[in-house]
Amino acid sequence: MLADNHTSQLIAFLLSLVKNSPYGIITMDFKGNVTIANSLAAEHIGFPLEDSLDRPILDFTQHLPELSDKIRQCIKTGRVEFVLPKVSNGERFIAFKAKIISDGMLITTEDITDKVESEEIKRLNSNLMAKNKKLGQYAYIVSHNLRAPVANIMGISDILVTGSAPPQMQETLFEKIRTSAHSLNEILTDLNEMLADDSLIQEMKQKLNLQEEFETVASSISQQIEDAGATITTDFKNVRHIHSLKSYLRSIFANLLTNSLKYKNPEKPLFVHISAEITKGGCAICFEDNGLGIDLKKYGDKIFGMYKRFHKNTDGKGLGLHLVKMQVEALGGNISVESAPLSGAKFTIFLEQ
Amino acid sequence: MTQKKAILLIDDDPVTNMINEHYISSQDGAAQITAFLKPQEALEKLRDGAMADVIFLDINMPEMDGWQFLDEFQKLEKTAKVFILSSSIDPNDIKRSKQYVSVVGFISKPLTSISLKRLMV
Repeated sequence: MLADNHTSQLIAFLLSLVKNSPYGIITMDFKGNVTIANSLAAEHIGFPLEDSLDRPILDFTQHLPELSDKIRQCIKTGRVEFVLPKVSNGERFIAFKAKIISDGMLITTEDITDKVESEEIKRLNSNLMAKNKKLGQYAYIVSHNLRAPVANIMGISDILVTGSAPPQMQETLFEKIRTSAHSLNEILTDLNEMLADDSLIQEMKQKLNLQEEFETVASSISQQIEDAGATITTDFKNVRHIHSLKSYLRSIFANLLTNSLKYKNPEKPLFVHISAEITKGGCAICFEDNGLGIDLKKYGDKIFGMYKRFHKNTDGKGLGLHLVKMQVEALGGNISVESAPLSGAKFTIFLEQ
Repeated sequence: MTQKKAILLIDDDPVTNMINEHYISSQDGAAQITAFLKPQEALEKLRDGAMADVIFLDINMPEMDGWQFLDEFQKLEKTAKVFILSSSIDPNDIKRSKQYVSVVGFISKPLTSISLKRLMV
């Protein structure tokens, strides 16, 4: 009698555990009839707890065909885990785990809506922060870089209109209006690229032939290359193709190449060499020249900064390298530089593949 | 009243200096105007004892920018009035310029005869 009393106490205790569990719990026998169910499970799946004992579980899951399928699958495989969105009252995310146990099947259910939503909020938040950072940079460019040629054109046209400029000055002024208009156009192109939607990058990536892409870029600025008297060599035999975004790759090539042309050493002929190697996890594109170089000891942390210029008497607008860095990072890569004054620059771009 | 004003223009763009010189000299024919493409050179002149009543200073310049110039200039304890003449319309730049005692104004480029008239009286 004592033993019986003990057993019934144990059963009452176990049933109370099931009843108060933070998880929904259902067990069934090998015929698929419900042997134990708690109210959370009934709530998560959406069936009345009363009268559910000894009835086939599949009777209660008809409105959730996916759940029925998974239960059948569990019978075959012994274990399944999955999340069903929008179960029961239509807004909750419920995680299900089903496994075969000694005398049937155990299904546990858990409402993970809060977890799913907080992850979604985290994701949205980091998207927003990235967008916000970009907008800040955009505003900075508008109020500095874009404003500069506008101010030039305003100032010069004021003088020209008043007719106060001596004739020998006028030619210089007209030429300045022309260069200002061209730099306006370049900055607008850069701004347009900055706001391009990064979220589309993944789906817009395609197989690109490095040699072909580089040649397209080089031919678009062939006049500048000729004027600089540059000798350009490439070696893409180790990495002929990459999977990337065409517009970004071209923009990266174009910015680095014009950088090399702009900052050539006037004392010696310019050589530019571009190559690519396979590295751990991806590939590295190497961009090397024998130009003026940059004093990294002095400017190291600023080289990829926005609106920084390191050479006098050039028409650099301080945006090129910043844009290159942004685009490389948007592609999931990184860029580094080795350089010293008068001994050229070597940019290495690592891209995941 | 007829005292010659010493005016320094500091901007890495020679055309901007040319325009500003044109405006200032048409406003005040007696002004002594010296233009510098590099702030370092202006500093050197000032260290050597050159006088300056007014300095027009650009911000975005390679090698040494306008802020760095101001940091060095403050050490010289000169009395010159500095006008920042920048193409920037960024409020942060205006705020930053107010931290310098010697800076008496922030002018958004371009310099015009009207804005100059207000400054030079």
